[in-house]
Amino acid sequence: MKLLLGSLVAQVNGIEFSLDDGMTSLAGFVTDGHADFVVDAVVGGAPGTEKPSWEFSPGVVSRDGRQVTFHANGNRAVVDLDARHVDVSLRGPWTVCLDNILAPVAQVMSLELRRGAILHSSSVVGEGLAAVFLGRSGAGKTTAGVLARMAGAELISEELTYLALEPHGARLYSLPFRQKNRLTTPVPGAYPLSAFYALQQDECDAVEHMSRGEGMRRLLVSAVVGVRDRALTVPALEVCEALADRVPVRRLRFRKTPAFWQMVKEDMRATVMP
Amino acid sequence: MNISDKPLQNTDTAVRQIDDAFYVMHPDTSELHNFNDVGTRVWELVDGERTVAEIAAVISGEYEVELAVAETDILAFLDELLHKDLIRV
Repeated sequence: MKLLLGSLVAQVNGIEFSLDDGMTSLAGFVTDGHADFVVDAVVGGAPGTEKPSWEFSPGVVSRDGRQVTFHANGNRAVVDLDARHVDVSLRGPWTVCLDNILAPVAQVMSLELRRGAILHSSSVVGEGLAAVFLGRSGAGKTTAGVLARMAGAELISEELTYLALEPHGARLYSLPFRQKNRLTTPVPGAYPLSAFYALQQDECDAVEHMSRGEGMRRLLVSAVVGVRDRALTVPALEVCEALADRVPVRRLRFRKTPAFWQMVKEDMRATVMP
Repeated sequence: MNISDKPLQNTDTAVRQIDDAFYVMHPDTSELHNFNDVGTRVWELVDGERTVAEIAAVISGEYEVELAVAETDILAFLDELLHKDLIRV
């Protein structure tokens, strides 16, 4: 089975549609495209193993040259960066296990291939304008996304967003994973990105410019929340610099009301006007 | 760190110059450190060949700073970089 993971295509072997819910959430992301990398999966799970919840918290176990081993919520992956091959061991026969391990695998491969990055962020689309909200835990990423949705935007992601580099911009892709609060149902989609917004909850709504360097710094913080390894240092820096070159990064001060979304839309319209 | 040491850059770091700002990223922490123009110049001179005293002499000449002040400030700066594992001795 070939799966769309952002702009990447993963050839996933060993499971087909055999997991608990028939992997219906992934069905819309099956594709015919050329595979960027191969995943060979085995399903583990001793009797009595408890079904886990979704969690994006990978931890690197070891690295041997260009082979990185990491775990994510009881699931394990060994990534051979040069061979573009991943061996995956799932904690149990559940789709959420595949979600838990494929998310960091996609993060690693998107950086390694310099195709883009998975950012710890939320994202919305409204009137053809796509925005990504950046911030550390507690900054208000989910809040901003939900408030924008209340004001009429479509919530694309609440925790992880795939950004693909393009020659003159970037494109936001939906991912096939049910994320933290299950606020979105994964549906394939790709949208030209208007701007990144680094969040700061405040007593007012305001958008402020950031230098390219500061924009790169903010993106880097969001890009390395998952797998942290030396093999990804240079790719992460290169990709984040490229994203900051192509797409504006703004500081967004916002109150906890949907009103900020109108201001954000006006800012995005100004960035896309010739 | 002392004045006769010859510090050198941690070769696992990644660096970027964007506009007027210079950034150094540590591979394990993924922390991004931003240097001003003097810090950037010191970084360039940290090549494993020059002592701290020699680096201070270059900075003193280029930035018209008293040598003693340059030595004190650069020693403190390099101690901080050493603590952050951005340089080695």
